[in-house]
Amino acid sequence: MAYGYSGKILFVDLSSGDHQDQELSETLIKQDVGGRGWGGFLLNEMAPPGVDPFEPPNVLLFLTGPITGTLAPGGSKYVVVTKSPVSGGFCDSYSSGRLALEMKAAGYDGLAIIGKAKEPSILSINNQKVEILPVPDLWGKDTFQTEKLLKDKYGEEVGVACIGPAGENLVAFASINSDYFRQAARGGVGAVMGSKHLKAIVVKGTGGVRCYDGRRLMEMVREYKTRLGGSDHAQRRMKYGTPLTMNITNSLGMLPTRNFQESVFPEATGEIDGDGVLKDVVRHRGCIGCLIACSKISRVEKGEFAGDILEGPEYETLAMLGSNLGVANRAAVIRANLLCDRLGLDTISAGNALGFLMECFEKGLMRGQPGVTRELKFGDYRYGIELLPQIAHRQGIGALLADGVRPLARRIGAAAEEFAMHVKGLEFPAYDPRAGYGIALAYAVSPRGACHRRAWPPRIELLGNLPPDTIEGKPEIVKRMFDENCIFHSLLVCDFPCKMVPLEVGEFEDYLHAITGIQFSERDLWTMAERVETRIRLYNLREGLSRGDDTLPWRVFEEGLPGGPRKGARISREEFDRMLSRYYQLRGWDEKGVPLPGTLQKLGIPSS
Amino acid sequence: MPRLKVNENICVGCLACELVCSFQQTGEFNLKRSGIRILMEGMFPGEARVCRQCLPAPCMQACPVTAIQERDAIVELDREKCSGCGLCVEACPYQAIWIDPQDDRARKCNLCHGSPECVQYCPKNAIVLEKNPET
Repeated sequence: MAYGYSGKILFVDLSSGDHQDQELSETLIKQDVGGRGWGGFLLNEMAPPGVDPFEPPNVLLFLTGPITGTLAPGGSKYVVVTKSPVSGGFCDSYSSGRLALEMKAAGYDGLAIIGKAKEPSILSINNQKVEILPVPDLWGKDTFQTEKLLKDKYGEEVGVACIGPAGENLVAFASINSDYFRQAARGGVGAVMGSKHLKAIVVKGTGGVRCYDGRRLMEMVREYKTRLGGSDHAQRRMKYGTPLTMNITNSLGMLPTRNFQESVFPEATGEIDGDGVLKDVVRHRGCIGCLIACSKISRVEKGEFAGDILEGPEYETLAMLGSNLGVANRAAVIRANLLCDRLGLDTISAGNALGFLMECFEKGLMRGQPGVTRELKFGDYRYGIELLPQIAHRQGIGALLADGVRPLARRIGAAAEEFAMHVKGLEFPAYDPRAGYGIALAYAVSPRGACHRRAWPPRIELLGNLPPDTIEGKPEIVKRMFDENCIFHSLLVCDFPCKMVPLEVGEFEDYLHAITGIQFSERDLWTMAERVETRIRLYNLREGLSRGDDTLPWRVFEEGLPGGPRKGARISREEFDRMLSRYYQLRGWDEKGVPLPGTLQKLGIPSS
Repeated sequence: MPRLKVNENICVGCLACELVCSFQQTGEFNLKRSGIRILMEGMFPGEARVCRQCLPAPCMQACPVTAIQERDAIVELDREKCSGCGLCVEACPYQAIWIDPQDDRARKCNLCHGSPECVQYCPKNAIVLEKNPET
């Protein structure tokens, strides 16, 4: 067995209670490396074609990578992979947490969970001891209570992943939480966990990660730390964290405002942007082993939410539960963030869904809908906050939002579908794609739906030297960014410390060699990414998605931005189609987005 | 006696010190084999536990096999001698010595024999080596 890996994946069937260890094959290690790479392979293998995501045969994977648990930058992440109840396709959602390290300490690189427990249960792993234990008392508890109760029982030095009421009630944007404030939140992974009656996973182990050349790894991390100190970019992010992004998106005219009706929110300045958030920061916080420590602990001192304390808020939350709702009250965003964390809700989709509802009210489209007792207006943070528990518990008007914006828009009708801001059912995150055509393409082709985490074109088209309002060069940079993040997400490292310093893909040749002893070349890694992206494409095609799903909402094509630096910007359907075709071509897929036989052969994927 | 001092107010709870320490002491990255621990206080990082290099040291006095001794002004644990009885763990007023779960012998900070590695990696420089502490 290579160094770095634990060498095994634990397979658990919650229906029968059976479990078994399976050794990692050499192919999984050398071809797919870990994380997203393994997810692309295992979901294809394990989830039966056409399975309902909430039915027991769907698989819920928790995966690490060779770098997990070492001191390499950003190495405490895990990825949850499953068939998404939102898109009906491949879903990968990342979190950091002690769970990632404890899985490896217990001897597992990953967990593959199928079935459904007879009653609400937890999966407890203590080194080789694996148990499925009924926990009727925990069902209904929020994530903070759940994690606390589990730590009271199993000790502080355990890894926990748990769901809140939203996951139990199969809310389409339910998260899985670790270390209280860290979430794998997108695509409904928490709902799949809930469908399995799995309240939590608790893992502890006494093993460690042994490296091929640990001394060399330590030297590289020292050098990386020196580089951090010399990077202004990194220093700013260490000071402000992700909220600094709002200063950028607001000034460049791409900040979602009032459900993407506008893209500039002047009220944000000094309130919910980097400078605003810093006013409440009482302490900085880092994920395990991360030297950037981009996270912040905020404490609300005054006003109706005084006393609230939170790890966060992050940029996405500030935008989606702030500007996107016409809210510039930082304390209100913090309260909404806290509630989402406790209930186990994705703050991005929650903010998007509330914004969508606000616009539906504004346009008079909510008349006659069930549960409607009063109007929710942009800026009404109090009512918005009241609705969050209703979403998680599927009560009142919250029941309408609990399946996400796509089903709600379909229910209301065509007029609402025009501004239901999603791709493949997954709600837009906090970048308006009209502000940069690369973002539009990245949202459209992302396998799990609208996503800013697989490619982040603003880095080049707004902060670099490629104009935002042309399609030239965009398919090329989007593909490269997808592949780059695929590599980071397979290793598995957080891409944030990599981008900040920067740490290039080629440098991971050395990291991987020091950790595993295997000489992966940079070329091998890029090829791996191509293979993984094509394999995930095959999965989505198998599950019925097609070129028609790689598209954007009406608003992006037909409504120009009303103001700001990108005033008038929209993307024409014709230009978008040209970008899409070019993207497929670069991937070796045909016009319909189906991988060509030659591509499969080149990547070593058997054609079925 | 020199000793490590952790500024808990600026510690970010990244546990890099624990990963570094475990690697120094055991050759593997393992939070449970570290000689320094950052505890959680509820949901946030709290108290840091690491040997205070007491003199006289209660752990030293409690050890029945004289595995803990002063060497070059450092309270050093000779793990070859240690029998894993746990009396040092009971004796330490700062709860800064542990039994290693892999080999059942005690583990503590030995200041990397004078040049502690965790100090070099802490992203906030929250750990400092005090050469001449006042007490």
